[in-house]
Amino acid sequence: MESFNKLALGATGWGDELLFGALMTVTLAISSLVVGFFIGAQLAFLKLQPIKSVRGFAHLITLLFRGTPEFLIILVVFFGLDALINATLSAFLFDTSVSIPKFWAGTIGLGLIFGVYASEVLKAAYQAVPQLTLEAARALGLNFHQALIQIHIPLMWRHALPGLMNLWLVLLKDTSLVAVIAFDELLRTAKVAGETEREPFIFFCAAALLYLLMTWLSDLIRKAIAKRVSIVGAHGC
Amino acid sequence: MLDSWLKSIYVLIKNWHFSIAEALCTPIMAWLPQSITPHCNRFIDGFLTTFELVILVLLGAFLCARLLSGILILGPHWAKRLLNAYVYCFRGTPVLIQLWLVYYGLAQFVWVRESELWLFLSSGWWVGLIVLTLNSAAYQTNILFSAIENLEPGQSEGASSLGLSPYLTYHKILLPQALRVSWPALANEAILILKASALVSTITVLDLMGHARTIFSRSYDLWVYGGAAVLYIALTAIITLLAYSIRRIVFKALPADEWFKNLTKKN
Repeated sequence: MESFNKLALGATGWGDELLFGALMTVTLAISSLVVGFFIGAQLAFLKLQPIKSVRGFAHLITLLFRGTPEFLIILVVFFGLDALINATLSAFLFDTSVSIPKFWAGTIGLGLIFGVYASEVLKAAYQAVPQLTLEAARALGLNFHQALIQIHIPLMWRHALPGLMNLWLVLLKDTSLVAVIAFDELLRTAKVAGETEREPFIFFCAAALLYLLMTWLSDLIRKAIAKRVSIVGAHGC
Repeated sequence: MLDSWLKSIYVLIKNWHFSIAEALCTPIMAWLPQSITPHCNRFIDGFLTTFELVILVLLGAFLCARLLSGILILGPHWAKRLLNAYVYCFRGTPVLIQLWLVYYGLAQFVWVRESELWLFLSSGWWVGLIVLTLNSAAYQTNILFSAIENLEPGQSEGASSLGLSPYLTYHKILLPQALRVSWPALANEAILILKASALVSTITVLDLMGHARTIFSRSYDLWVYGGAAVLYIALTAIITLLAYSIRRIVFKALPADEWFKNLTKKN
């Protein structure tokens, strides 16, 4: 029973630290989602270009990122970004060494991973909407951008959202990798707490329960969205 | 007894890895980038360690998943609920926390350290094998079960009207069809496990990622990670090809281009 007291909120227990770690995990996941969605949209745009070499480039990037472990990508981004920025700065004769905050290194790494997978979802969603809607919109006098933004993209959502929600669940679990570069999110907090109290088991269990809670909530939202956007007669979710 | 057995097997496997590395590294030395040349042996050792781990995990998990999805279809109600809870827990938490929970978490208990199991639980490789197998079994059970659920109900009805027992219906009628449908998803899961296997480097296993991290921590040369990435992509290609050829041989299936289309559709 004594070990449960260590999970209490406040100064005596680690409960509030763990909850703060969970908050950091969610923050990291949401900011990676934003970055990743942007990257994914750009990649999907490249994949839909008529020029073959442009498409090939985007597909090559997808292949490379899908074939390497997420862990490796996070480490390369973490160590590589610093080296890149310092090299650029020293090229312009600034003789300082900066290190990028771990939060942003994690965000960019996770965003890249999310973006590469999201690009496939977005590309498929774009292609799932019949091209006739674009042509009909053009025939009604909208220019290409208006037709794309006002007609085509709203129709894309129902195809893209189920896939994106799956990717969100993957992303939420992948945020735990950032613990290895010592960013204080949920898993890392649990590890530190466990090492300090010499009782790692209960803290890892608590962290696992918090992860389960987060994925359960996301799953509820996913089901609600899937129900809302689903097309009658098509199993889009 | 078991202890010394395991140790001698370990030494045998490592010797085998390094003899392959010796044979491979000398001829290709000239083409490698300078920062990787002195570590070529270790990269090959890591490559083989990762490959063996992934193959063992996939085989073990596949056997478990066959059994578990059978229980999910035929078993008693309480067993189904238990299995659903197991699948939900393993799918809902990150692999890293599962590895750390078993490797660091269980070690705190004295009765674990004094039990027979400690031989396995004290070794990162075994913990990696066990946890990844359990994790992959959960995902594969989910894939197989949903494939069986989506089969036409006429299949099992027809089988039972022909007098087949529930076990035979599952084993001879439902499972083969479900496997055929879900093979791309299973191949996809194999690649996810390959990528997750990099995480065993955090519990002291010297797999490909473990070697790369050790070398990197001495030299801070990013090309080391580049080399590891190339080898991981090669492993992905090998596993994809293996899955494809198994499908070709076992299921006499689709031509290659259609297969790859299916594979890229599911992320």
